[in-house]
Amino acid sequence: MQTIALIGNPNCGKTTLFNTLTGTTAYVGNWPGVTVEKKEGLVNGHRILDLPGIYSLSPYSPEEKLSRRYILDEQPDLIIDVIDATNLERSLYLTTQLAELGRPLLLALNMEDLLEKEGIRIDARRLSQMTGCPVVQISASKGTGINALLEEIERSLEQKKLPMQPLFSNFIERYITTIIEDDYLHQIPKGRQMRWAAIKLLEADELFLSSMPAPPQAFQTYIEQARKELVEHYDDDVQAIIIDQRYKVAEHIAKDCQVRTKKAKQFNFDNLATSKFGAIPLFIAIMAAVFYLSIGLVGGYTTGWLESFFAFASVHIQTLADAMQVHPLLSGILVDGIIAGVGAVLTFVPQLFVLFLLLSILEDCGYMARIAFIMDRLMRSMGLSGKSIIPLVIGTGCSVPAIMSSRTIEHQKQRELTVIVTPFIPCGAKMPVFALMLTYFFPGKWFIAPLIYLLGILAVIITGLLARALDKHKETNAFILELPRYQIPAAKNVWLQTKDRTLGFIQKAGTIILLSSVIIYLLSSYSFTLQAVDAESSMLAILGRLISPLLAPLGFGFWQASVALLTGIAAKESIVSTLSVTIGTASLGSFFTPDTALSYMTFILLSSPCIAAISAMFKELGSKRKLLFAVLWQTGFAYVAALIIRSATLLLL
Amino acid sequence: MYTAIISNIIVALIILLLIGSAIRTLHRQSKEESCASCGTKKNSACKGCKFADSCH
Repeated sequence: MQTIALIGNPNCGKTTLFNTLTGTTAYVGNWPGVTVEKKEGLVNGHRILDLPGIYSLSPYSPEEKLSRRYILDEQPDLIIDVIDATNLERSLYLTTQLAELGRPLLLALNMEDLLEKEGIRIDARRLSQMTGCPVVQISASKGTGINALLEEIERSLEQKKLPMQPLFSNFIERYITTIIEDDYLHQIPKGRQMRWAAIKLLEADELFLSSMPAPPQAFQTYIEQARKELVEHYDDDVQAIIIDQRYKVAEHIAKDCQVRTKKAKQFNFDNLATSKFGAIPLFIAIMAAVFYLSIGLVGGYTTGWLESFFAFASVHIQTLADAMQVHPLLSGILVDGIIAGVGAVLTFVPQLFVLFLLLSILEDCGYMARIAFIMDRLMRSMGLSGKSIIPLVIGTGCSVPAIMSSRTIEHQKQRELTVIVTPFIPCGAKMPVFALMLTYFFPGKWFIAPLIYLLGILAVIITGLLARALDKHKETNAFILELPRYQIPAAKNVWLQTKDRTLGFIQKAGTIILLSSVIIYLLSSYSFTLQAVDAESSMLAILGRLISPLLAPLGFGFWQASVALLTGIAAKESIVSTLSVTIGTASLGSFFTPDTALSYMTFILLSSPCIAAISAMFKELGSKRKLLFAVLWQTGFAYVAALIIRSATLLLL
Repeated sequence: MYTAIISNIIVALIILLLIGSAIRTLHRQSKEESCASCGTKKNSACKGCKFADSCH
């Protein structure tokens, strides 16, 4: 079995191509940085790997290190360089580096469908001649050119033809040639190319130098002299000189192979979407529309229908069970436990499906990347990395992958801070609770839903500013976020994301929610002496009353709300099922008022996340002490915020 | 009499089946997503460890 590596700039369509080639459904997003780990699949019996998107092979970011180490150590039989055809010159910069690695290289010119629209024509034959690589024009999202690519993959694997090496100016080439001729270069690790090693020596690449024995004194003196002369000649440091030389090569090839037939026209929605004053109001308006359509419009119809359906099913199953003389314990577990608990959560499936669909459309059309862009400066000003925005946006779906994606942040403190603040962003699992409360206490007031997001962002900002004030070193780092072009969302990508998130939600209802509903039913039906009692004297009520006094200042100091919060640790959707099993969603008005409902929502939004996310936090923080601090901070913050929200609501209402 | 016994057995079996399949699914998911699925062979690590190149 031969191995193929897919590599290319961020957001050039590698994962889309990977999915098309392998028939898998890996997560695709229209923004850079979606792939933070390598993914494997099979194509025509060959192993294929989707590597994280990178701009260069310099060992600075974890993605670059991972990709570089993989290619150098694993020596794939073929590298497919996925090139964004509408950004040829920038993409070729990476190609100039890949060509030096001594592996067969195949260029896949992706997004060919956009070329005509952008007024660009590429001479693929000329490009192939100039790089020494086979070139195939494809559109991964439309599925065009894939057969030609598959044929070329087979041909390249058979021929194993190496690409041409990019040549720099004569002044640099003479140093490279001299270095290559030295015996010291024969000690390079297996699989490395002489020319590549010579360039790394000139650049004083730390990762490469650490893999080599100390050079002889004379050779070391020569290298140092060469670096000195290069710096004097070009008036720049050696790394910058090499980068400049590569860009010159890329520019030369792009100029020769690319013809711009007309000036590209672009709808400049970004003037508003990323403007200083218009961006945030637009974001609020868009999110309000999303919530109105999902929770307001769709939820308004379907919640009632599904509630009636589950009530109908419960009544008839209970009647049947009574007629068949089924023991009350068994019929209770089935009807008042499983059907009531799971049914209460499943009631929200249609509106969450629409919510996930709209969020996927926003992401795939490129709007979410604009949110990342406008938040970038804010993030850095408060001690977070610019890259922190990626976990925060992924967190709107689920906190677990969001916390995992914080691994791309280089600085430890920024990474840890991102892990702590990511759960403040409302995930999909918290949506049923908000939908439930909004439906019962604030019908028609859909502006409250986007305010929940703003409250989450505010919690991130406050935590970030506090951490910034306490941090003596005040680390900052640059984050290159490329704004992807707006595009009509690809139906396949949107469908896959929506389907995955919705199925995940339904699966949770059939697993954690089902189990917790059974446990909650039993605990709320029996006393500690295992006598059947009413709910007020049950084990659950006694347990709930232990913590409910703590929550009394927040307005929900009754045991049902307390135990719902406890079951929410297993999964946030459990809060809805527990409330349904213990008090019934129709009786919410007897327990909550609008101010306590807002306070309850705030507490759920900001308090520590579910056990899966806590486990992800532990893995990323790597210490029990830090995890304890994170959970205490989140819960303490939630308590204070809920108290403030309740007091403010009481003053205003 | 027999109807009641059979009904109780059927309902109990349904409940056990639902609980059993929920536990089995959760167990499978936790193995797939955690270091419990990490093996000693190359490329047998869980998602997180594959990225970090180290097992928790």
